Amino acid sequence: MNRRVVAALVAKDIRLFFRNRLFGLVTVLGLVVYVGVYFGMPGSVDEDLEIGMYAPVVPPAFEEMQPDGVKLETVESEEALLLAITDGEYPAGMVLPADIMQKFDAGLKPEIDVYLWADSPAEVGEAVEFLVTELSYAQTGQPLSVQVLQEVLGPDMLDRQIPARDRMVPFFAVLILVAETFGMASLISEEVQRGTVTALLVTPVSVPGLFVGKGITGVCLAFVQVALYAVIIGGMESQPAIVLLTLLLGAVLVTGVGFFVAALGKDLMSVMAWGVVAMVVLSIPPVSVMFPGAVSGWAKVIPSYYLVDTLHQVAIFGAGWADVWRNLLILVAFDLGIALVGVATLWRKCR
Amino acid sequence: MSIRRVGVLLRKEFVQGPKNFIFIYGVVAPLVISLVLSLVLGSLFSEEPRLGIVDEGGSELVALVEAVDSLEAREFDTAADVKGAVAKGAVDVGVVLPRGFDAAVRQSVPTEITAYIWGESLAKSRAIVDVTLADLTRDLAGQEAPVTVRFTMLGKEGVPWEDRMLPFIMLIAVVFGGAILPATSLVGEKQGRTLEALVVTPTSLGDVFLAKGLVGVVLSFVVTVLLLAINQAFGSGAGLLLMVLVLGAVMAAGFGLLLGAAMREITTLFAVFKMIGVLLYAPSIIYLFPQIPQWIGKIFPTYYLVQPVVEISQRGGGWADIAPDVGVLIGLDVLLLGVVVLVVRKAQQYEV
Amino acid sequence: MSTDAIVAEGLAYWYGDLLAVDHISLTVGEGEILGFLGPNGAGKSTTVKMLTGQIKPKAGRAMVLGMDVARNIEKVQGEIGVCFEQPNLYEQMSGEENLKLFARLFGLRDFNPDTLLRRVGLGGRGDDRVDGYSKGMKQRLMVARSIVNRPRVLFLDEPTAGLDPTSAEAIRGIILEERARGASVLLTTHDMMEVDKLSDRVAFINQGRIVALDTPHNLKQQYGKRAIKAKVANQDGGLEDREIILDSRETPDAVRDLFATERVVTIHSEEATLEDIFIKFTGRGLD
Repeated sequence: MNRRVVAALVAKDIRLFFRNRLFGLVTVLGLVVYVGVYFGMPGSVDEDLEIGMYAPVVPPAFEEMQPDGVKLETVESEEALLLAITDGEYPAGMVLPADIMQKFDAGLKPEIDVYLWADSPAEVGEAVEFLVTELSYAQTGQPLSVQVLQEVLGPDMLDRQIPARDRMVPFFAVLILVAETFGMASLISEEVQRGTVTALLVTPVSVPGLFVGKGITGVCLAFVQVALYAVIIGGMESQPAIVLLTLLLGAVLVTGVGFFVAALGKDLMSVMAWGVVAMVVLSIPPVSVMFPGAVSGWAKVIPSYYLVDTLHQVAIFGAGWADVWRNLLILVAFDLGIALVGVATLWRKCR
Repeated sequence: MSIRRVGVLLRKEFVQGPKNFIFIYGVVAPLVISLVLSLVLGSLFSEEPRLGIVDEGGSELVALVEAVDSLEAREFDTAADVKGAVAKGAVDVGVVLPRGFDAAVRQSVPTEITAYIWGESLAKSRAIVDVTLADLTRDLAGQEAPVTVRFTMLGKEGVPWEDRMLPFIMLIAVVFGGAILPATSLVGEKQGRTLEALVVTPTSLGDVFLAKGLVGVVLSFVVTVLLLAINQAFGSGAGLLLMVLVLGAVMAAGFGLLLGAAMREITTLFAVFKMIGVLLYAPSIIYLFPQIPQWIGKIFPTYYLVQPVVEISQRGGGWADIAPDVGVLIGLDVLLLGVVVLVVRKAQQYEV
Repeated sequence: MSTDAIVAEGLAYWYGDLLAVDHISLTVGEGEILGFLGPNGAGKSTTVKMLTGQIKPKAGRAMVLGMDVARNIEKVQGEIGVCFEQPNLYEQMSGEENLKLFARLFGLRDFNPDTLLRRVGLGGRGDDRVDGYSKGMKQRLMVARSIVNRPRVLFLDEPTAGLDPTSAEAIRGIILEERARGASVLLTTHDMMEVDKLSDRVAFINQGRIVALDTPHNLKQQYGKRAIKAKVANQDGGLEDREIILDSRETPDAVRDLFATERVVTIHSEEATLEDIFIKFTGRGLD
């Protein structure tokens, strides 16, 4: 294998890639869109249920016994409360009667008005009712005979919740990587169809050299893009070495998949079809990060799971090498396996 | 132009079409996207807390929990199952109701239960589960609430997210089936030089364009109707709706034919679609985010398809409500078809 | 009224500033095969496109079967068959499906593709998809498609390109059968031997103009040179070529000198070739 030859092949492939208007556009535009979406989404999570309250007299229990996660915010008048609700400041509000304490003391049932904004989630209304009732029980000294012991499973993220945009980062990383699968697969397929591969192989270009050249191109294109994305969105702040290695392994993974897709496809259309299938499959593990519990354990057979899980652990929970080395090892194994399969199937097609 | 030859070409398109990835994609993608979005959106925008419950003793609390709106309840078989679900984040909180729970509660016997809490669950979710369980336990215990709550709804009920997504999903069907299919078919024939072979027979370029346009219209119409049926979004004016969908399909097909006439290769065509996609889908963003002024949507041609559909299916509107927009839609159709006819006539060569 | 199948009168076409076809005129009689020769870029394809209605002439008139092509395009195209140089078949369809589609477009009822497929040597392969055909098979299908409607005029562009000798001979046989049926053929080709064998007349086109138009025999007589070609041994033991033009005054002396001064290894006479004639007219070969 001649390094000069491989370098020439890599330069040629990168040039061809960007000459293809579709893939050039997808590459640049995609990056812009993903970065735009990331920064367009809120960077924090609103953890508390904020309820407006107008109360001439605030019962002590209403002040002191609010459960964590609920904030009763006092407003100066009922009109102010209604305005705040219609302005969207609160999803709901309550108005306590001035004689609430007298009624409680007399064993009577005061009436509490709860105002709901029509667009609020359905659960808010009922939740507020239960809240008001519970606070009233607490005020009237009626304890519950049931004591609830709480056990938090996993790291407790209270007050440091993961914003939706950060949950989507692995998904976008996978999309960026997979887009390169399309590009590589299409270019390879075109070369095979047009016979330019054959033309190359009757020169000093050897078969291993050809595949190494294509592999380097694919990995470089995928890695540079996704690494750029990670840098822009601040994904390198924690454990940059692990992040970079993971992204590199991800780039190798999708390049192998690209080879396989190129071997399967006959023309651009069929390459795109298989590419979409690959994209859908590889995108399943990120869904489990975006929607925890949505995808069960079988997602672990999908190679991108180990990419996604590593990124998620590192970025959100500050995991280190000791926590993720297993994932990385499995990812390496998948990379080797898929690369072998990809190269083997493509080689058969080229011959 | 020959109707018979158009029929021959149309038959070929429908028989050979399903062998083509784009054809299948044009039919399947909108339906799949619709399904996925309706599943996803339920999770993405819903902040309803999720409670997992294991009932070891046939407690009535389970039925009470399942009847409330403030949380989503799921029953599990064992404590290990619910713990596993909590650890994965499938539920926010998991509780195990021991045997004799109901009796203990009714007899005010002090009872302990463990609530497993998912570390990533929001504070408000935990709080809602907490107060809901407490209140329902009190119901079980037969305690009478010390307060009466009166509800008043303020403002107009907004459109649920599933309904807000409908214009977007519909436009996917219209654009994929109506525009992309004729465009790719036309460009494919140019690239494969089969268009050249056709136009040296009595088949005219007009025949070819008409056949491909009809394919786009039919597919766009059928897929959009299916979509609306799946989403139960026909509303009360099915006849009007169908008419609007036909007009929209014609607009999409006209657009697709023009693009197909202008482009010489598939990759450039796809690149152009990606670039101008925002123009086609833009009106659906108005419906996703109602705070965006409505007038912005009127700049885009697909608005005049989407607005009447929304009016009929979601607001129960009739002809009087949609007439102006349908008028514009008809005008756009006539304009687009006119340009297509001009392009066909002016074509000196098969390459258009 | 002319009974010629094809009449080109002062046909001209230009692409921007480039004059591709410079007011050419030619005719092809009924049942005649006209060979149409010229280097790449000479204007052959543009001429054929005007005659088949793919483009409108910028000047002059194209008449096929007595009809002005530009004004009666549908009728004309119903009576012609075109075989293109580059395969342009529906690759995802079978050979049979390709033929049936075009048969329907021509309005043929009861069309049986099997006969035609057997005729071009594709019997039994009609159900296979075209993308699985070899280059030669695609070419044969192209020829088959061009005669689906039993055309009265055939425009064939390199019909035997890429075919093995047997298949090429089969296609030539079909061309002759079509002529025997009464069809007129405009045969565009680079194959000199094919033109010589098949064509009743040959037209040479160069830089948009017809530079010669006559029967192959007359052209060779008029412009060709007959020669004696010999190989003689040289002092190193190798062979060298010698050529003596026949039909010249110096011919007898040259032949005598050759045998007197050289050791002749082989000797044979050679007819004038169309390629020689073409090089003479165009200053270059057919590349």
